[in-house]
Amino acid sequence: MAITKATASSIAPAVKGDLVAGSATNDAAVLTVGANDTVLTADSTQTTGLKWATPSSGGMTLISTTSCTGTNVVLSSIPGTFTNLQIIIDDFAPTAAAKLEVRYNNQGGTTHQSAFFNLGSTSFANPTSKTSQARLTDSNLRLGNTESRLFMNIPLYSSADNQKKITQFHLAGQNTSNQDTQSMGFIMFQQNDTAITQLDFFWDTGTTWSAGTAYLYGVK
Amino acid sequence: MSKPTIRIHNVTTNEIVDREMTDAEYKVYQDRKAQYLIEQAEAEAKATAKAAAEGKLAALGLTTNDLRALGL
Repeated sequence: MAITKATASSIAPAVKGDLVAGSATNDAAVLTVGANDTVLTADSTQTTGLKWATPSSGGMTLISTTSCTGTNVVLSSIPGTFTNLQIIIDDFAPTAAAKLEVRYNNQGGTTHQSAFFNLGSTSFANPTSKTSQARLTDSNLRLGNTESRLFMNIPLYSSADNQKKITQFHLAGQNTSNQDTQSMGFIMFQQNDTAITQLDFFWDTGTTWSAGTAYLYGVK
Repeated sequence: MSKPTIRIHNVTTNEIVDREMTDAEYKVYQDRKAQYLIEQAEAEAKATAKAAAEGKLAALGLTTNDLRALGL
């Protein structure tokens, strides 16, 4: 039978956007239109097997923006609701020449291992003595220069399984000889069965931040 | 004497607190600075030893390139 407008109107509800959906064998029910920007989603617990729901967002969510000051910049209470973390620290510098370091969950002892290449040279640094924190560059970054940028990616940061938590990073800046310097490497955090909820960034000499903005992103 | 300050950003509540280090945090900070001084002294000693060795080579009319040529 051809469905005409009159036929459809005889079974359709009067409200704009409402749907007629099967609710059981040879039975139907009205599904009221959802809120703007929601999408139709299958849900077997609903009468019609359907519901209107907010689409899950993919991509990156900016969790926080922090202006860097003082001796330590601490990002605490990091929610565990994402898959990966990405950190960008932009336009940063120390108040006196120093190397940037990071500590996870404020854990000392031998919880951190890191190694990196300094690009532009053949050197491979393995700062094994830095087990309470991880070093992010082998060159002192010069004061007053705010061209530095750090990028870190921490996959599966909130998993509580027994797998090692790893980070890849890339830092570019200028050293005390006004030369461009870059390092890229990895960090392994040994607190296997605990989510990463805190990141502390500081300088090896104990100097303070003179500039910088830290952006923390969650990635689904 | 005042201790160094730290900035703590609770990224869940978006609350930012700037405060002095606690005694425990200050001890970690001092340990880190001490480690830095040790590393710096080691690096300086290494550089001094290298310069001295290069001086001895030069007195013999040799360079580090000569040693490399010998496979040393």
